Amino acid sequence: MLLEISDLSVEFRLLQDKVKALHQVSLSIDRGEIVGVVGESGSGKSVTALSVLGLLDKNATITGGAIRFKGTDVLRLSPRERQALRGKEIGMVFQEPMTALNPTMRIGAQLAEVFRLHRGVSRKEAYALAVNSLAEVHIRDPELVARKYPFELSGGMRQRVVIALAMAAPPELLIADEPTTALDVTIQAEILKLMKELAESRGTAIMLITHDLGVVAQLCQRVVVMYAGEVVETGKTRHVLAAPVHPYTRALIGALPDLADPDQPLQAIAGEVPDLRHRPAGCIFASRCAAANEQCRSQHPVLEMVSAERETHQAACWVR
Amino acid sequence: METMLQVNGVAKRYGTGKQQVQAVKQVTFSIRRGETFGLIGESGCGKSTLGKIIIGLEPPTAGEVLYRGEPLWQKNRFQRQKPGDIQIVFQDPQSSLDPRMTIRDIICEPLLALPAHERKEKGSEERLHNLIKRVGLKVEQLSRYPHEFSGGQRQRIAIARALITDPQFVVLDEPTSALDVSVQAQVLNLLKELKRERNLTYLFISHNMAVIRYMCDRMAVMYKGEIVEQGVTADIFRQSAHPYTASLLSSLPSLFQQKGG
Amino acid sequence: MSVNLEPQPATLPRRRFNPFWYKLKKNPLTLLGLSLLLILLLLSVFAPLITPYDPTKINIVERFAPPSSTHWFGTDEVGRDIFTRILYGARLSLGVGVAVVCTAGLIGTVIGCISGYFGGRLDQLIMRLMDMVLAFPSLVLAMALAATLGPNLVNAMIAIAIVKIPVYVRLARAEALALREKLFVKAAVTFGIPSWRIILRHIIPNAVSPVVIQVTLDIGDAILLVATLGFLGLGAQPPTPEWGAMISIGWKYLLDYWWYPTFPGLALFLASCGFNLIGDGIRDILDPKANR
Repeated sequence: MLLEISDLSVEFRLLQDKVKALHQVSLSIDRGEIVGVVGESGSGKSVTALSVLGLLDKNATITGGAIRFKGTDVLRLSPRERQALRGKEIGMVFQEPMTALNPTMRIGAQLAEVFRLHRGVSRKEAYALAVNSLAEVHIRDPELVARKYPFELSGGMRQRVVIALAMAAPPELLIADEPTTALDVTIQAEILKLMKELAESRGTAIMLITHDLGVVAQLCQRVVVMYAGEVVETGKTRHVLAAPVHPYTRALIGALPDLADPDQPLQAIAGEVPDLRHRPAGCIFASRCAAANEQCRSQHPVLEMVSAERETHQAACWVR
Repeated sequence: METMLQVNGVAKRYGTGKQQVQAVKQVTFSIRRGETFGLIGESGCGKSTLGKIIIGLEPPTAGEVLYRGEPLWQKNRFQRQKPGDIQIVFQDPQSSLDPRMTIRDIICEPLLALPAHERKEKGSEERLHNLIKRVGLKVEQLSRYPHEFSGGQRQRIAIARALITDPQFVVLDEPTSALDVSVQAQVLNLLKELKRERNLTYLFISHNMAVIRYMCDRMAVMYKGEIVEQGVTADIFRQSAHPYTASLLSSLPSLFQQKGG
Repeated sequence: MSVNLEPQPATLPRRRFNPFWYKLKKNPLTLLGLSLLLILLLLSVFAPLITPYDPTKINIVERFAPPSSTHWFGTDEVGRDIFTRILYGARLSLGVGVAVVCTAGLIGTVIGCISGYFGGRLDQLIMRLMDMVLAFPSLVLAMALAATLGPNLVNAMIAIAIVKIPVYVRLARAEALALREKLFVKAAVTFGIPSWRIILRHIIPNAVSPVVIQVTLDIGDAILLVATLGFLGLGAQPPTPEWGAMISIGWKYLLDYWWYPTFPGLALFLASCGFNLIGDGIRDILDPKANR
């Protein structure tokens, strides 16, 4: 396993309250694998990614669990060692490309700086590598773009540049947090294609954080469905999407407009995400679940194998 | 069927000289009473500018907009024939509600523009209570402030505010783009039900093809300020005439398009 | 990359807990400022109960008495008890300071919001006018205005208010410019609500917090300005007990009778500190980013 998160729990302090943002989250990513972590806002998908990167806010504490990257527990590394891990072995792409780009530096210079850092090459070589990397993310006329400033590029172009930056090392794991959410659909499709292509050609694993099941279907081999800070279902994408087991996953799919059957009313999930300051004793989804029974309300379900033939497909549900 | 809104050759230019941007070029379409008309396109295609022209935030630089046969814009002045008859629900429920006002004041605000007798009649406690319950909120919540609500609830408040004046025509400018899918489903279903109950006519602006397909009877596809295709939604989805529409459709990530995974 | 940690607000049980007080409690300096001013305020209100002396009654026999158990802060050149005059003077000095900046803040907010909301030529005109006022050193302008209007306290107050207005206009205008683009303001426009009403309902209430902070920070400064005008003979006229006037006259006696200017100066210093601490505190409390 390249990345192994086990029983990770994270707490945030908000004024006088403690918000339990993650509760015993376990997931793993193999070398070269593309795994989607999907959930709505407040599901903890971004917190999971930030925990791996060591970029949690100051008011967050990891209260339990371990994060192993290539066998070493990253939570035990010094800040300096984690810094070295980020960028070199773990690349990152965020929703808003401008947060990753220096607005006062030309694109080529920014990329060249990273190549010099990771590859220890000369200034000239680094610049050549930078221009080359722009070509690899399918930017037409890379020489011209290398001379531009970030603000002169469109959103889609910027995200390509950020991907080139993230892949410069090249990393073994790329963490992409909603990389296409701010982009138009036609651009989104191109960026997703690009990410898939790069991952395959270089053997990079991708942890894709998204709220969009469609994006998962397009890109990911495996999917982890999160709800209110817990993993509720996980498995091969085709298994989970075609035959979801957990009522939340089912509801999430039912809430999407279906192009094939537009007259079918959308299934809305009643109610709201529970108060994360006080987690219920039972299933976290019980309060919104139509099938919930006594056991659901009193006992916390654990991830269990769904069926023998669909290996790795697991769900945390009593009534499935 | 009666025409509710007629947009004739409307254009919008921003800036002058070299800096000039043609946001909307020669757009013509009409919306019939009782239908939901979808306007789809990607960011910067001019769909929101068009929405602003229709609700009176921006004057067009050319062309005319007729609402029930009467021009809405005359010499850069917006003509409100009947205040409160056209309403809007904006995309971002975060910024569309004044953080310092209670929900009651927010919902009742559009009444301020009505003549006194109408304001009294439409602002009655009973109507307000019915409306707030209809959009799925509680009467007790009227005295709370926007920050105490989630995104979906805020959008319900915005919908209640748009309906308090009993409008006939509502512009929905990306009403669910900022919401989670499960909440989006709640809001879209609510909008559909309200339309049926109140005989509303909608202009639904969105970048999301699936949402347009679910909501709209007819639609127009905008690209770089122009309408490249318009017609019955089902027809366009079955057989798009313009290559841009086709590329929009093929970019749409679908859950089961590649079962191989 | 923002992490949405806001627990879904609607699902929380109704908050009894008020973040304002919570944050205030976590901010000891603000509490210090608050208690400082509260003590000053109480002392001045209950002055007749605390001190047996009359602040204006002349008692030549006891002139320039050093601090003692009968005259805690000593007496002045005509034998008035300085402690008593400071207490009574607090009513005037604090009141004047607060009144001046509040008036200026209110007028400034209204002008700034109108200017920012409408923009265009009106905005240009108003801002150039404000630049003109700002171009002068504030003390010189206040002196010139006070001298033109005539040397008394009310005119000094008007002069200082006029000098302070442009700062608030700029603050409020910057807010109004941002608010004008907010959807809730645009929504109000689409409802057909007249501009004056939008300014009153939406712009001013939302633009007011930076002005409030600035006002609190400026009260100390305004007291000093009133005192300075008093010092120059352009403010409160004798025998009115006013801190500035006391300092200005006492100044001449500093070497021989140190207590005369020192204690009023100390009172002014404490009051001004108190307001500044509160101003800083309010800024921290109102800053949503300081939530964590």
